[in-house]
Amino acid sequence: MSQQTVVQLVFGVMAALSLGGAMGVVMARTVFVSALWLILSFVGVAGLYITLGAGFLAVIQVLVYVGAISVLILFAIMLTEDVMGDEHPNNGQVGLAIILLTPLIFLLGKWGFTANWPVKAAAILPRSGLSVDAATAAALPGALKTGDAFLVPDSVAYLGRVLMTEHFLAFEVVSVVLLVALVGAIVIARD
Amino acid sequence: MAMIPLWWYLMVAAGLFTIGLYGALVRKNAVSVLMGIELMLNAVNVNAVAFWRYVSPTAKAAAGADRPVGDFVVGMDGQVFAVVVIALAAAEAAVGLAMVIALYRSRRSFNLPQMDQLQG
Repeated sequence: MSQQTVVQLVFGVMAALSLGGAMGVVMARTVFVSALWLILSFVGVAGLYITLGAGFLAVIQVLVYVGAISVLILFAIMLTEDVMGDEHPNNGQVGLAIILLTPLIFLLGKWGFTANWPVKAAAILPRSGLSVDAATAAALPGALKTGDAFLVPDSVAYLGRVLMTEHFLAFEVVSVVLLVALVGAIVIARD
Repeated sequence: MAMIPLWWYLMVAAGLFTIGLYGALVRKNAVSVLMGIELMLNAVNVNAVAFWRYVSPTAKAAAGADRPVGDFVVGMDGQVFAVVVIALAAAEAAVGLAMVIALYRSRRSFNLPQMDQLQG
């Protein structure tokens, strides 16, 4: 098997995990089973991050989503009784939702497939420090030229530096939001 | 050329978003609605990281003392976006579940159709 086949196979498995897990979430009869399917879906999305070359995000996905949010949801379900089973988990809007969402997924798919996204260098991004070879430059005329050097800063250090310089405002806003959410969650849950 | 075309990721994200929206629309249980919202946020993140990987690295390097230097340098905007969304999703889950537990304490139920105190 060529390397391309292996990568595409890994992508297929991860996409199937995330989409299948999502289907399980909305199809499961009990909330508890839904939460277990949700964990599977999160693991699949973490795998998609790995195929995209964002290793740090995959780790964060597993830590925050699989480790924290899923456990929080499971706690909330198990701390309260009476939710373990429901004869009719859906409200009366299933037909309406399907009527609304069928055009939505059709349009999203059409735009994603046909839109002329400016995919340039990244799809053929060599490893950090490598240069563009002649065949690659010929494949994308105008975008690259032979000998251009690439640098993919796939390092946590670079992400941290960017968070502390270019995106400092977002970083600060998120920290304030987290603090407010922490205080708010305590105030709401305790009474 | 590309090992995996960009539109594969866009299709997966579109599917995740639609399934999550379906879950948020049709479920009676408040926790299930929260799970649908988490699925939608995940779809947004997949799109952000995919565009980060495929579209953003065209900028020439702005060589500086504090950043790597090369002819093409991949920016980090997409990953920063995804990190922020993950942090906000965690905050949203904490507050949402606190509200669910508070509601359960007063109503003994999670079912959204019964939460109609504000209805005139």
